[in-house]
Amino acid sequence: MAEPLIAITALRHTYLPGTPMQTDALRDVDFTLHAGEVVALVGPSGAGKSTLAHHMNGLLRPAVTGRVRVLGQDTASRSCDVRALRRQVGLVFQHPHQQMLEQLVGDDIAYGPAQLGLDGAALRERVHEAMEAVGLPFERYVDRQTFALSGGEMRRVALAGVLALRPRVLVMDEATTGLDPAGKEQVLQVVHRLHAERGIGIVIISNDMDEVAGIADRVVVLFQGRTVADGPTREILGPGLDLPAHGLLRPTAGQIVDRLAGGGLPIDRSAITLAEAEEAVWQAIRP
Amino acid sequence: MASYQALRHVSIGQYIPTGSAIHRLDPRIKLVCFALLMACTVIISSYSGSLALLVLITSATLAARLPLGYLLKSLRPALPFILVLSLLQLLFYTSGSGAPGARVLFERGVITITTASVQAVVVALIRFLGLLLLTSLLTNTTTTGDLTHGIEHLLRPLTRLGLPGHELALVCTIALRFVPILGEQAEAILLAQASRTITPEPHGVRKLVDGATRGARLVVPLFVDAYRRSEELVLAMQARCYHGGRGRTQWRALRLAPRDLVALGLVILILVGTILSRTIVLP
Repeated sequence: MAEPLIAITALRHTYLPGTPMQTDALRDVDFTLHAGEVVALVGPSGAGKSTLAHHMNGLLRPAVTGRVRVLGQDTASRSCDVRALRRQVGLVFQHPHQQMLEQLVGDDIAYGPAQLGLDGAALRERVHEAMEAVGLPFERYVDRQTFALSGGEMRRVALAGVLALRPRVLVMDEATTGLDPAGKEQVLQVVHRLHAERGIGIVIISNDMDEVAGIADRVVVLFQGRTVADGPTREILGPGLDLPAHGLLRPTAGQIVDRLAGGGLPIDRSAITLAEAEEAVWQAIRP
Repeated sequence: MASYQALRHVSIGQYIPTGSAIHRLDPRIKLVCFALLMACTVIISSYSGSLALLVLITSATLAARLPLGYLLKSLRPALPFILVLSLLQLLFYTSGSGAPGARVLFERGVITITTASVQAVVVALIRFLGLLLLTSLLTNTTTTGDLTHGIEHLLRPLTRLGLPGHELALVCTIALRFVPILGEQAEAILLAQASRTITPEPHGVRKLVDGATRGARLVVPLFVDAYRRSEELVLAMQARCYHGGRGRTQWRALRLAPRDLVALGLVILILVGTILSRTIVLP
């Protein structure tokens, strides 16, 4: 098998070492992302998800323990070209307004490709393409003020700004949190399409298990700075694993079948999506 | 990388609970002591006096079980400014060069260095250190709530004259409280920006230009965010029925304990000592 896009082993990360506010965000984390894979990183607040995300494009680098290899580069080594890394690993932040660098939407999305030396029509084309990919009509949005956008629009601009660099890996840190259902759906569809059409590796950080069930191939569970589970989505979100012990719940569909089973209905509890739950219920009640 | 956390290293305004006796002092007493010690630090101008005061303040910091090294670290960003200012003062300080006992050490053109100017620079440095530790000593051992109450109580006599004591206290508190918050915010913005910067690290003159424009790129989103936060704070306060000073009771009633009087007594002694040392000129 080819080398994974991201391979993290036994990573530990301490914030503000040597100060009264010293905290261990990551204690012992293993994580891999293979080419063409969609991996969901889940865990309760404070589990270290964002810190781990920052290790994926060299914003943070292992200090003492742990090994982080991203696209064949060891980020702890001094010779690691982090800027090249950041071009290929796009990170969409939890709070999009922190990611806006320019006043106008068009300028902000062009920020990355302009650094690659693109200009004129080529640059415009690249921005156009990125905006189309996230469902923002080019003419309507290109000259809007970034700070005046709504939450959902801002998130899509942030995503477009990252996509404009045509990354090989996309890391989305709670990129759908706080969006309305339509906005969420739109962002997820973009992810689906990127994965299907360009085959890029995608890491989705989320607490929405329904969302994870619908999109991820594999799920990694982080709890108190440790990787506590890693496996195919169906296995992790299925009835076998005690998710509440790690501060999480099964997807809504799973909870429904669990409750029906708890109430005495002989039902298959493996459902993780609504369609599967519906099917299981029909199976169980059909005479 | 550690560099992104530099802004969080601002130790002023960050409450560090260690449960020491100094933490438990009445905030009013702490504020008064703080003001008096500050006055002492500013008044004093002899080597021995300022050193003695610095030793006293340092021992108070240690008594409060605050990590000294950590406090000093927050000096680091200001260091270049301090050094440049000291150098300027050393080279161009003239007032007091005619003071009794001042000897000329070096003279060329407009530049005159005397024992008085050397003393002024050294004492200013010690003074700066003292003020930094004092401020940390106050803010790191007192919660913002206590600080507000203290300031409010102390300003109460002035409210009769129409001074909005409660509001002033609140403004001070919020300003102090926002220092680490803005630091964290700046850190988040720097991270996001670094994540989208993909050209090779600039060198030479371009590095300087880059450094300067980076400041602007940081300040604008930081301001936008600070405004947003302050609006949210106003809403949150209104939602919880905040209505200013009049008729407001307090969760923690302030009552003086013997240790407060001891602390105040000690500080007054130091003040008297300082004033005496001014009149009886020490070397």
